[in-house]
Amino acid sequence: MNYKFAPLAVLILLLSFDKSPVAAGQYDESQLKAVLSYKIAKFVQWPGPPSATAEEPFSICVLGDSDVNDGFKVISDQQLEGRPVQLKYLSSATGLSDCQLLYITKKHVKSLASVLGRLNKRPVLTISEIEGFAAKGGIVELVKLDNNFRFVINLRAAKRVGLLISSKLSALAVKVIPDAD
Amino acid sequence: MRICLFLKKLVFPTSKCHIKSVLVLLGSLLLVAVPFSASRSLASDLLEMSLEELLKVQVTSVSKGPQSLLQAAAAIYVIDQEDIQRSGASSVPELLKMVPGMHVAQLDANRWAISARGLNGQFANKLLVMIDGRSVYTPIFSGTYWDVMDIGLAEIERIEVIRGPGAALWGANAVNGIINIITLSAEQSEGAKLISWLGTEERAGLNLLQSQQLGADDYLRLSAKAYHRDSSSLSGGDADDDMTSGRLGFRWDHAGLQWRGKTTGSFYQGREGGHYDRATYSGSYRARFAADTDVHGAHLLTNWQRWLSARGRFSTQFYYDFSRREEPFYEAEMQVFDLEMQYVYTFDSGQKLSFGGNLRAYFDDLVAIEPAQMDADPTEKEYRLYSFYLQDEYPLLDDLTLILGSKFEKNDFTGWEVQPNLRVLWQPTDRLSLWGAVSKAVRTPSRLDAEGQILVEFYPPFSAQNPTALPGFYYLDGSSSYLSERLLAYEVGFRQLLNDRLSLDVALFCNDYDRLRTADYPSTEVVLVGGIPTSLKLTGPANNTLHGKSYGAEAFLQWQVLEPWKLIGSYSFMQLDFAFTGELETYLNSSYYQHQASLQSRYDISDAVQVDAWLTYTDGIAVQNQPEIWDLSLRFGWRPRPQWQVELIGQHLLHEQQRQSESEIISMVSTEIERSALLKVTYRF
Repeated sequence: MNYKFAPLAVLILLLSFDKSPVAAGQYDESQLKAVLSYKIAKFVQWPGPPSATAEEPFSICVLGDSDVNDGFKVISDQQLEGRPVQLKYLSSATGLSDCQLLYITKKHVKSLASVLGRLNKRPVLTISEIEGFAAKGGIVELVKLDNNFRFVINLRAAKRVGLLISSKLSALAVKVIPDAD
Repeated sequence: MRICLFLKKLVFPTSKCHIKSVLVLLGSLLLVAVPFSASRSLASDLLEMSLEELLKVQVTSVSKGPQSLLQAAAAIYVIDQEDIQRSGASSVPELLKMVPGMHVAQLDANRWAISARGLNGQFANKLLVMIDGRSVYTPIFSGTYWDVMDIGLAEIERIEVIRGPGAALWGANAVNGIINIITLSAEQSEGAKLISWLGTEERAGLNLLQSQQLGADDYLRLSAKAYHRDSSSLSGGDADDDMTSGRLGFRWDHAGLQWRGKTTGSFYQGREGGHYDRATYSGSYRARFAADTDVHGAHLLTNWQRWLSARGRFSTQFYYDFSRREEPFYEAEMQVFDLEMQYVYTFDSGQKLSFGGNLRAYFDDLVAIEPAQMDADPTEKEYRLYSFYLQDEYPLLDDLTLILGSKFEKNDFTGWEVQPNLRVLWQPTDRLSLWGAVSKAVRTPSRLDAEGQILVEFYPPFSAQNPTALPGFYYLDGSSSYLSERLLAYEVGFRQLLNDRLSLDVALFCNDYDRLRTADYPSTEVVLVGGIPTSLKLTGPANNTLHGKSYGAEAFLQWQVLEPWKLIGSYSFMQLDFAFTGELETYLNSSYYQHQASLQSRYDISDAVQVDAWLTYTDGIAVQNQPEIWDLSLRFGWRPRPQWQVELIGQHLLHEQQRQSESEIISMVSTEIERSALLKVTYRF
C-alpha cells in the first residue's frame, strides 16, 4: 500500500463537507415569472380600505399555458395585502371581474385587446410577457433580456384603474411609461 | 502545494509504480464516504429573494435541443454538455466528428486536419475558429493550431458549429464554416470540480475548476489543467510525438442590473514531439527525424454589454492574445489586439437591426530556422484589419423572416472586401422550418501567401515531372499580387420535429469557388554547392487561377427511442468538381470524405449508470491512398454518488493502429493513431 497521496485524499474529504450546492441554480422560467409577479404586486397598493375582509382571498388569475400554470403553484401558499393568495386558472377572457392580479401568457396574444377591453377600469394589476404589452395598455410587461427578466411599467395605465405604484418599483424598471400629466 | 506535487507526478510518471499509486489513490477516493447534500428546493430560493435579486436570476435558456434550432437560418449544430459528456471525447477535435459535414482527421498524437465541407488539411484555411468571441485562426499560415486548443472540456458550455459561410457576421476566413467554443459562465459553474484521468494514450491528467461568488453580482472561476499524452506509432515504432502541457485560466462574470460583463484570461505552456521529413540533396532526398516543438501563449479578454432600453443592447469587447511556437523549421510569434463594438435593436414589429465595428492589429515575428523548408521576408510584420457590419432581420410575415447583412472589411493585403449574405427562414408550423441562403465569403491571404516561400513538393530525378538527373524541389512563392480566395455559396435546409421523440435536420449546399490558390508555371534555377550542381529549385509564384464547385448534403437524426435510450445518427455526402491542371494541384485540394457517417447510442441503465457507443465511418481519400475507416468508441459511466462520476472509455477500438490522413505539408509526417483506454474520475465539491 502506498500512502504517498494520503494528504490529498484527506484534503478532498475535508472539502467534500463544504456546504456549497453541488450544481448552480437552474431556475425554472415559469416559476420565476410567478415569483416576479408576486414580488411586483408587493409594491402595488389597491384602492379602497385595506383588507376589507381578511377572510376574502387575494385572487391571482392566470390566463396561461400549461407551463406557466404549473409555475404559479409556487406562490399558492403566499399572502398579498394581508390576504391569502388564491390562484384561478382561466382558459378564456371570461371571469376576470374577481381578479386582483391577472397574468397573461403569449398564448393569449390574440385575445389581448378583448381582455384589456373587458377589464376597462377595474383595479386589476395586469402582467404579461407579451411584447409591447405596456405600450398597448397593460401595466407591467416582463421582458427577457438575454437570460434575465426585467420589466417595463406603464404608470398611466396603473393610474387609470386606481392602482398606486411605489416609486421603488419604477426605479427597478428598465423603462417607465410616465403618468399622462 | 501537495496538489502541485501530485499533478507533477501524474504528468511525469517516471515509473509504472506511480500509476499504480495513483490508482490506489483514486480507488480510496471512491470509498471515501461523502455526505449527501440534499439539493435545496430552487422554488423556495426564488421566494426568499428580493425583487432586485430576482431580476438578476439567470434562467436556463431553452436553447437546448432541436426546438431552438428551428429558428436558425443556417446549417448549425450545437454540441452541448450532454454531447461532450456522453461522447467519451477528450478533446474538441474528437467532438467535432459527430457533426455531419465536418471533416476531421488526426495527423499525429496532437495535430489535426479539420475543415467543413472539404478542402481539408493541417492548415485548412477556410474554417474560422473562435473561443468566446476570440479568433484563434492564425493569419501566418491561415489555419488553426489544434494542438493548443486544449481548453478543459468541463469549462465548455457548448460548441456551435456552423457549416457554410458566416462571413457576413464574422468576417474573412469564415468561408466553409465557423466553430464557436463558448465557455461556462462562472455563475453557471458554481462549486468546484476535480477531473483526473489515466489512460493508455491520454496517459494522465488533472483538471481543477473552482468557482465562487465574490459579491452580490460577481462570480469568479479559476481553472488549472495539466496532462501528458502518449506518443502514437510510426512504421511499427514509436512516433515520439508525446505531449506534456499545462494551462491556467480564469473567468470573472459580472451580472449587474445595468452592465453584464465577462473577463477571461489564460496561460498555457507545452512541449510536443513530432516526426519530420527534411528535404536533402543526396541519398533518398528525405531525412526523417524527430524533434520537439515548444508552445506557449496567453490571452486576456473582456466583454461588457448593457441594455440601453428594453429594445437595444450595446456591447463592447477587447482582447489581447499572445502565442509562440518553436518548431523545428521555424519559430513564430504572434500578438493580436482586437476591439469590437456592437449594437442590436429590436423594433415592436419584431424587426431586428444590428451593426458593429471592429479593429484588429497583428504583430508577428516569423524566423525561418531552415529556410530551405520555409521562409518569410520580412520576418517581422504589423498588419491591421478594420471592419464594420450591418444586419437586418425583417419579419415579412408572421412565419417568414428575411435576413440581409454584410461585412465590410479592409485588410493590409487586399484592401476592402465586401461579404454579403441573404437568408430566408420560413416556419410554417411550430415543428417545421425551412431556410435558404446565398452568401459570399473570402479567404484573405496569409503572411506566407503574400510574403513567404514554402517547400510543397519534391520531384526525384528522371520522374515524370522532372526528367533531369538532378532532384527537383518545388517551392510555392508568396506574391504581393495574390488576391483573396472567393466563395459564393448556395444553401437550403429544413428542420422537422417528426414527433416528440424524433427530429430531422437536412442541409444541402453548392459552393462556387473562384480565385483559389495555386501556382504559376515555375521558374527553374540550378542550385550550385561549391560549384557543383546539386538540385533544381523550381519556384512557382502563388496565383489565383484555380476555380471549381463542390456540392453535398448533410443529414442529422435524433431519436429518443425509449425514455432511457437515445440514438443520434448523421450522414454527409460531398463531391468536388474542380478544373485541376496538375497532380500537385489535385493533391493539395482533394482532401475530403465523399461519404461520412456517425451513429451514437446513449443508454441510461439507471440514474447512475450509462452505457454509450459511437460508431463512425469516413470514406477513403483517393489522392492520399488513404483507405476508408470504421471506428468505434465505447463509454461506461457510473455515478456512485451525486458528487462522483467514474468513466471508462475505449477509443479506436476497431484497429490496433491506423493512419487517418496525410498532412498537405510535405515535411510533416503523419503517424498511426492507436487504440486506447481511459479511466476518468470526476468529483464535484
